[in-house]
Amino acid sequence: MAGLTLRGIIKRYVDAPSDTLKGIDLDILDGEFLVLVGPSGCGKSTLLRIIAGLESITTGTLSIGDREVNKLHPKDRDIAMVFQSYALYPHMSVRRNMSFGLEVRKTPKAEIDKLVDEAAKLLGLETQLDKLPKALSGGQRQRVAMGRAIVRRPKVFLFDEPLSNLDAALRTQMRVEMRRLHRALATTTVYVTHDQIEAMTLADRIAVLDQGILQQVGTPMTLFHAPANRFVAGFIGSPAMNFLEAKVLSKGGQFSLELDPKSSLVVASSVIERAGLEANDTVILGLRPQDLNLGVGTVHGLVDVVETLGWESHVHMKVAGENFLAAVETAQAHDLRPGSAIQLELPTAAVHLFDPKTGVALAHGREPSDDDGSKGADE
Amino acid sequence: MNSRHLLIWLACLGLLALAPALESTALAEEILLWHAYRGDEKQAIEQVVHDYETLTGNTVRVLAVPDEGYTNKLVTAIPRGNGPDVFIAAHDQTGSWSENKIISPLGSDDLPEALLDDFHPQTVEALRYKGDLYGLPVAFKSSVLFYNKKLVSQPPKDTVELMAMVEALTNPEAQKYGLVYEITNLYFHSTWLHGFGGHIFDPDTGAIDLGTEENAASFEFARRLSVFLPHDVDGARISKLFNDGDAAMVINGPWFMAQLGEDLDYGVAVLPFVTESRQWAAPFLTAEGLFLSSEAHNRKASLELLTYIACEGALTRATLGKQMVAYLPTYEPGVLNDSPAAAERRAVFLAQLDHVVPTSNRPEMSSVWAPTQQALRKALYGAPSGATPYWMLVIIALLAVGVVFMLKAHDVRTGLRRPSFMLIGLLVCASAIPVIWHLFTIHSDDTAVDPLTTLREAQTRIEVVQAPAAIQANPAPFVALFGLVMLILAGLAYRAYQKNKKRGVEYTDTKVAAFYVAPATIGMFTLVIAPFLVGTALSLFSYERGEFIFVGLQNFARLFSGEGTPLTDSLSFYFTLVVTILWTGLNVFLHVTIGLTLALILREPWLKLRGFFRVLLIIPWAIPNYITALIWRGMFDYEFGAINGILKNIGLTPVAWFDDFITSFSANLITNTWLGFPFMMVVTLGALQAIPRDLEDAAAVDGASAWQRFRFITMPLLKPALMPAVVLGSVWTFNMFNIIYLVSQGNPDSSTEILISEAYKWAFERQYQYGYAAAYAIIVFFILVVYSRMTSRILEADA
Repeated sequence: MAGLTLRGIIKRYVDAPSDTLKGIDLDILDGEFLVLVGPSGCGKSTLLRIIAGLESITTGTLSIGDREVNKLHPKDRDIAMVFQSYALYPHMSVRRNMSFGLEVRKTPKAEIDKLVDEAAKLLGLETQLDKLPKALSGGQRQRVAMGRAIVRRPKVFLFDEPLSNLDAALRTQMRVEMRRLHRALATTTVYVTHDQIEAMTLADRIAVLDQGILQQVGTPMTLFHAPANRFVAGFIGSPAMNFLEAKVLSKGGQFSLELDPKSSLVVASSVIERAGLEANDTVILGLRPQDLNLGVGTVHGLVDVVETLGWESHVHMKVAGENFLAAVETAQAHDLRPGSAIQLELPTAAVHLFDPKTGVALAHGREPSDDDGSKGADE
Repeated sequence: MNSRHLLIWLACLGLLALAPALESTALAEEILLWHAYRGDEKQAIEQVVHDYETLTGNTVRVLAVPDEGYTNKLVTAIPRGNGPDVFIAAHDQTGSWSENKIISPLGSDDLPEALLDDFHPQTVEALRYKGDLYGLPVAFKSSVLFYNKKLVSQPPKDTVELMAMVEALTNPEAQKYGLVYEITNLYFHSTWLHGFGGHIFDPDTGAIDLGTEENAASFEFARRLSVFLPHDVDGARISKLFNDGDAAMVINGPWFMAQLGEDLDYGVAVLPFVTESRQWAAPFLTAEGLFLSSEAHNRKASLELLTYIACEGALTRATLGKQMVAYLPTYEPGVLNDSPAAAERRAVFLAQLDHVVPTSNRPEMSSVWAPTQQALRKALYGAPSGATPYWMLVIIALLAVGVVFMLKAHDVRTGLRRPSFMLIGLLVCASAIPVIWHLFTIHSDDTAVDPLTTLREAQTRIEVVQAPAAIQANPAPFVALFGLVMLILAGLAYRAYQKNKKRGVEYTDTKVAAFYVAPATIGMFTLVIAPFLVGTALSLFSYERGEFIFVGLQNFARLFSGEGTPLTDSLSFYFTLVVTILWTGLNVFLHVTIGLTLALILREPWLKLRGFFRVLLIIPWAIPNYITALIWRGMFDYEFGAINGILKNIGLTPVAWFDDFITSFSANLITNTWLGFPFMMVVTLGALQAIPRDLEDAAAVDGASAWQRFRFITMPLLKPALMPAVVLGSVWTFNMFNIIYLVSQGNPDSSTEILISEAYKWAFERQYQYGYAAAYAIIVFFILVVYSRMTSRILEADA
C-alpha cells in the first residue's frame, strides 16, 4: 500500500484550446479515502485516468509511494479501477471477470480460486460466479466491478463515479458497503463523483475541482464550515448556500451589512476585521439555508414558493431582489403563503464572506476549529 | 382504386410485351446488316450501303455491334430470330457457325460461279467449310514485317539476316529492340510455324496434329528470338515502342498502320524466307467474310446486298475504309488512286498473300489456341510445377493448425492453460519449414521445356478439352426425382400451414398479403430461382452442334474424374479447387488482418487527419474493380510495369509475374487484397465503435498487455460482427472472376484459374460446353452452401 503524490500536473489534450488540468498539487495519504468532487467537465475523471495511467501527463510528476510512475503503463502501476460503466467483460463469467487480472499476471490457479472466492464472499456474489454479466442486476454488476478491483489487492483503488448508474436506494446501500469495505481493506482510495452527498459521506478528505483547478482539499466538515471560496461554498452542502451582495456599513464601531435599504444585519466586528473589510466595501454574503430563523429579524423577504419535504420545508423567497432559500422545520413554515412578507434572522456565526471579484472566502462567522487541512489549495 | 391501378399496370406490361412483335412486323421489309467496324471502315461500309440503297431503292439497316462478344451475340441472336440477315465477320468461326446452323451456305443458284474468280483464291478458300461456301470475302488481313526506315535500311530477306539484325539492334538496357511482336501469341507465331513446315491440322486426316518435328523447330526458333525480345508485350505497348523508335521491326497486321504516327518513316515487307526449312514464313490469313444468316428474311435481297458490298463496294472500302479488299479487280492499274507510299504497302500485303495459311475455320480450332500458346510459353520461359498449389496448401494448413494450437494454449474464457499446446503448435509450425524449403527447390527447377514435349502435352490437353461424345441418358429418373422434391416441399409447406392453423394463426387478408409480396416473389423467382433451376437443369445437358442432349450426371462424372489428368495438371478440377481454396483463404486472411490493423490504428487517439485517412483507405473499394484490376495488371507488366520499375531501381532483378504460379497467384492476391481490405476495415471500424473503450482500459488496468487486450477482449467482442463479414468476403472472393480474368488471365498455363473463371472458360473458350460449365457452377454453389452453413453453425455454437 502506498500514498500518492501529484506535483504540478498539467494535462492538455491534442487540439484542445486550453489545459484540462491546470497544475494539480495533491498528496493522498497511505490508506486514505479521498473523494475528488466537482461539476461535469471539471477534469476530475481526467485526473483519475491520469493516476490510472490511461491518460498521459503533459507536465508534472505523479508518484505512487516513492516511485515516479509518469511513464509507467497502467498494468505496471499496481492499481485497480472501477469504471462508471463497470466495464465488465461481457463475454466472460463473473468468475473470469474477477480472475482475469490475476491470470494475466500469471498468479497460480489455486491462489486465483482462493482470492476470487474470498472476494465473492465479501461482496455476496458466491452464487453468481458462473453467470455472465448480462444476467446480473445493476447492483450485482457494480459488486462484480468492485470484486474485480479488490481480488488483486492493489496499492491504490480508483473509483470513477461507481454509483451513478444505480437507483437512489441502492446507492445509499452501496455507499455504506463501500465505507465498510474501505475500513476492512484500508487501501488508499481515490473516488471521483459529482455528487456531494457521496463526497461528504465517504471521504476522509474531499478535493474539490473546478475548471481544472483544485479549489480546496480538506475534511468534509472543513469544507462545509470553512469553504475556501464561493465555488466550494456553493458546491458543498445541500441545499446550496445562498449568496447575496451586501455593503459594509459602520456605525459607531458597530458593523452591519446592508442588503437593501430595508434589510441589513449586524455582524460581529471581529468577523469584519478578519475579512479585512472597511466601511462602504462591497462583499458577498453567504448563508446556508439551514442556518436561518424565520419570523423575527432585520431582513425582509417575500415568500415565493414553499416546498414541504416532510419534517423539513424549503421556503423560496426574494431577499433584496435575489432568490433566497431557507430550509426550516415544517412547523415554522406552516402558515407561509406565497406573496406574504416575512422577516428573517441571520445569525452572525453562520455568516460567510466572499470577495465579490475573486470569490475567495474572506471570513467565516464560525471560525474553524483546530481542524487540519482547511487551507485552500491554490491561494 | 387499387384494382384500377392494377389494371393500368397490367396494360403497361402488356404493351411492353407487345412491343417486340410490333417492331418485327414493321421492319420485315428491311435488310439488317451487322458489322463490328469502327472508324474509317465503319464510314466506308455505311457509304457502300447508302450507295446500294440509292441504286436499288431497298432499305438496309446497318448496326455496328461492339467487337466484344460480337460472336456470342450472333450465336444467341440468330436462332431467336433477332439476328441480322447479313453480317460481316472473320472467317475462323465458319465451321462452328455452320455446325450450329447460324449461317446458310451459298449454293450455285445463289451466285454465278465465275464471280468467285474475281476474289483472291486464298480468301475464298477460307470461307469454305466441308465443301460448302458460306460467304463472300470482303477483306483480308495477315501479318507482315513493319520496319523503321531510320533503323533498318533494308528489311531482312531471310531468317539468318533477321536473327543477325535483331541481335545487333537489341539493347535491353536502353530498352531498344530489334524486333517486337507478341511472341507467345499463336496468331503471330503461325508465321514461323508454317515457315518451318509445321501445321496444326494433319492435312490428310484433318485431325489436330501438334507434336511434329517441324512445329518443334518453329518453337526452337522462337526461343532463340525470345532472348532479344521484350517480355509479355501487348498491342498497345508494341505500337508505343515502334512509334518511339525503340523497336526497329514489328510483326503485325494491317490494322497496325492506324496506330502509327503520321510522320513515322516506316516500311512494310514480306515476312522473310526461312533459311532453315527453305520455305517462306507464312502467317495466318484472316478473311473477313460477308455471311448470310440462316434466318435471313429475304434471301434474294440479302444476297444482292452481299454481292454488292463484296464487289461494287470494294473500291469505296479500299479507299475510304483503307481496307485490303479481297476483290481483285480493285487492284488493276488505274483503279486505285493511292499515294506512292500507300501503293507500296498495298503491294506488300498483296505479295504476302502468296505466303499465308488461312486460319483453320474448323470448330476444333478454338480449343487449339490456349494450349498451344501455353506450350509455346513453356518452351520459351519454362514450366511451373503443378504441385506448387498443393504444397502451398500444406504449408498454410500446417501454419494455421500450429497457430490455433498456440492460441488454445491459454483460454481466458475458461481459464484453462495448456502449455503442451504451445509446444505442439510450435512443432507443427516448425514442420512447415522443410515443406517451404521443398517448395523453393522445386520452384527453382523450372527451365525451358523441350518444345516437342510441350507440343505433345498441348495435343493431349486439346484432346482432353474436347467434349466427350454425349451419350443420351434417360431423363425419367431425374424428372421423377424433381417431382418428388417438389412434392416433399409442398408437403412441408402444407404441414407448416396446418401446424400454424392448429396453433391458432389466422390467415386473414391473404389476398392483400399476396398482393404485397407479389413484387418480391416475382423478382426472386425471375432473378434467383429461375436462373438457378435453369442452371441446374443445364448441368444435366451437353451442348453439341446447336443442340442440347440430356446426359444425366455425365458432366459431373467427367468433372470429378479430373478430366483423367494427373492432380498436378491445371485442367484437373481438383487442381482448380485447391487453387480456389488457397485463393479464398489467403485473400480473406489478408483482408481481415489488414482491415483489422487499419481499423485499430484509425481508432487511436493520437492519429491526426483521421477522416482523411478513412476516406483514403476506402477509395480502393469505391473504384470499379475491373479498373483496379487493369491498373494492377499494368503495374505487374514485366518490361514497363511500375513494380518491376521499382525493383530495378532498388537493384533487384525484375520478376516475370505471370510466368510462374507463385508470382502470378501473388499478383492476383495483391490486387484482390487491395480491393478487399477496405470492406473489412469498414466493418471492423463499425464493430469497434460498439465496444466501449472502458473495456480495454479496464483490461489495461487489470494488467493485460496490448496483445492480451486484443486477444482476450477486443477480438472476442469483434467476432460476432466480423464473422458474417468473413463469410460474405469468402463468398465474394471464391467467385472473384474479374481479378483472375483481367490480371493473371489464368497464366501460366491456366494454373491460376479459380473454379468460376474455369467455368467461364469451359462455357465460352472451349467450344461452348455450357452443360459442363453449369456443372462447375453447381459445384461452386454447393461448396459455398456447405461453407456458409458450417461457419454459421460454428458461430451459433460460439454465441
